[in-house]
Amino acid sequence: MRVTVEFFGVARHWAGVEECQLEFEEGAELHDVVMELGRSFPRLVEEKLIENQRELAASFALSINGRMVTQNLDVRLADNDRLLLISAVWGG
Amino acid sequence: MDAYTGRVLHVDLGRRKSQVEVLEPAFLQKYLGGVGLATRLLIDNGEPGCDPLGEENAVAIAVGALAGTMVPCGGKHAMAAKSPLTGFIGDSLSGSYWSNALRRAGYDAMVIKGKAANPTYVFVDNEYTLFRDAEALWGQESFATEEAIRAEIGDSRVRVSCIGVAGEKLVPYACVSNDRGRQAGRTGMGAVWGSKNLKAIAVRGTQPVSVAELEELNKLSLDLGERAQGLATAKYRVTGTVGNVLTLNRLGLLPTRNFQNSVLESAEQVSGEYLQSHFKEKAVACSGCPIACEQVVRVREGSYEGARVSVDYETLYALGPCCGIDSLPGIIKAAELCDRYGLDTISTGVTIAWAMECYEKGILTESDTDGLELNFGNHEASVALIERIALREGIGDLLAQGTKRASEKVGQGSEKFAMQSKGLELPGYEPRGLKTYALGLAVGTRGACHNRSLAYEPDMKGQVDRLKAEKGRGQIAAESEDLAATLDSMMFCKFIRGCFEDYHEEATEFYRLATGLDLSAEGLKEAGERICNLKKHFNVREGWEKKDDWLPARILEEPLPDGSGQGTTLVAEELRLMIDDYYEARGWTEDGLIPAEQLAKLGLEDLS
Repeated sequence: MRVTVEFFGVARHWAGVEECQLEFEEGAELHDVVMELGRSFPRLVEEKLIENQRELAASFALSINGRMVTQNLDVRLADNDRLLLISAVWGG
Repeated sequence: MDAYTGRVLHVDLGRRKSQVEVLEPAFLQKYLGGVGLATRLLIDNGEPGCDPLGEENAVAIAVGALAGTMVPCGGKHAMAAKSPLTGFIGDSLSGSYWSNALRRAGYDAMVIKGKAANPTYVFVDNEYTLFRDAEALWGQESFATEEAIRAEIGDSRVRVSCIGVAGEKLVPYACVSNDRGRQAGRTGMGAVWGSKNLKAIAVRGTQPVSVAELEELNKLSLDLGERAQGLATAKYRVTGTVGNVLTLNRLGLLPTRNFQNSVLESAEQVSGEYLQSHFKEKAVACSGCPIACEQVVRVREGSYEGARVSVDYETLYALGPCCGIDSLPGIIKAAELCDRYGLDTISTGVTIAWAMECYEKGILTESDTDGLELNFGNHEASVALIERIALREGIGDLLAQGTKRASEKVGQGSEKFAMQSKGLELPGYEPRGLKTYALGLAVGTRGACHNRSLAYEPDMKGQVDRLKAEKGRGQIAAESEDLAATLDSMMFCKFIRGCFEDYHEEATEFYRLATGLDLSAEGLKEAGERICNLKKHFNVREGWEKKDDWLPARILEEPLPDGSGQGTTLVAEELRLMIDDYYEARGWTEDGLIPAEQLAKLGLEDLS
């Protein structure tokens, strides 16, 4: 199945792209997406946005299709999900 | 006791006299400093039931225990007075070198009362307090005022906090500025200064600040400074808070066209990324700050060429998407004018957005607007309005009253889309899509504020379902307020909060090493609760009623029309449920009042 990851803020700055598309087997979880992002965008690992290959740093989160926001990566993906890699740090 | 000086400078502008009050260590430990100390001093020195713009209102200004020390991000000051915008507690913070100067002049706080016969500025020159004529400064912009006072004194080390023309004209959302571009922005402290004929407070502080354990404090400070270069602050350092725009837009949380929409189609044009690549000049930091979140931007061409200002997310939201404006040059020019005149950018932008909606609905016509076409997106009209608001000319006199009073005057249903709570205009997160945050806005003591309640964090981190209103949010909102109160009283900038592994434990260690006073993590948490109750007590004293904890009709009656949260509602019953839950979590009565035993539990029995 195919998912799209959109990058925002510093994640976009470090990934160097606005979005990417990734392919996974059925049953994949958000952890698998994070692992794949680390392989495709090594800067995200260098900057420690991705830790221990499959975890997100505490100051980042993923949104699934713009509604649910989570830092728990034990969530199964659905085909055509759009994931937003966003900062979990707010204020202005 | 170290770090603290244990001294409050009382200034009577009418009598042109000053005197020093000595504070005991136990008192300082109880209220910490900053917002906590300023609120307590306001309660003790302001006249109950006073006119916010009358002589009896007091302005209390307090620094934190760590001001003037080497601790990163500990140099801010807090200002408290009865707000002319809300009629309740007005409290506002500013990051600054000014706070260090006050501490080094020998004071933890100032209390200003009375009214000067003529425009005056106060010069705190270490142990001397001088009252100086400000006739020549009256009518000057804030930036020029700072420079003029430094030139008059002839010392570039002098730090100046001052009002612009909006404060002089008593615009109830006028701010107080310092260090060329930092503001105590919200709740109209500038108008209170203006009502007292107080143009500025200049401070020259050259005395050393002692700390209890220098070596250990240095070590801990360096460590925190290093941590502040890590991921927890990356957003602030790399894009600044303006990086919020695209994320909030994608999540359907960017208030647009006066909260009629939560998505701006052309958000890329006002994004933090676009601002960085086309307008950024440099990033600047407040005193002792290793983060430097503030983005200084400049317009390089076109009709606004030369406009230069610091822009953060809230300013950009209010003067941009909220007004349907997607022209960054227009937003930068508007922000610069707000800074020069001394206007709170959030209240200014949201009030203009209200006027634009009135115009598009035919409630205001060109005969009301001095011929201005106030359509959403018209940045030229926005820029023109800001000058009129500051000078209270034409339509500006109506808009200078803020959305609550202006809509009550205009009527015709415009109250329903006056985006305020307790009179304070809403900040830039869509509450219908962030339910815990919505509760925080409704019960906030200073009105709709994202800074005194950090309740958007659990929503945005996915710790709760952001689209669901339920019991349990009351406790979360209360705890987030308590945390914010300790940050605002220790005077740690909120942007460094993510750098602590255990904030309460580490903050109290900083406090102990600086002051030599013991404060436990539990004691710090209790101080946060005490300060929140103190602010609520002030509001009750000034006539707060249960109905004042509420949100605008638009939020409660209209579902989100677009974005990923399309169709989401927050109905009155849901908000009532969360507010009741919050009162219960606070230990307050069903009517939201503080029982005497609750005050006693927090050491506030003298306020019963």
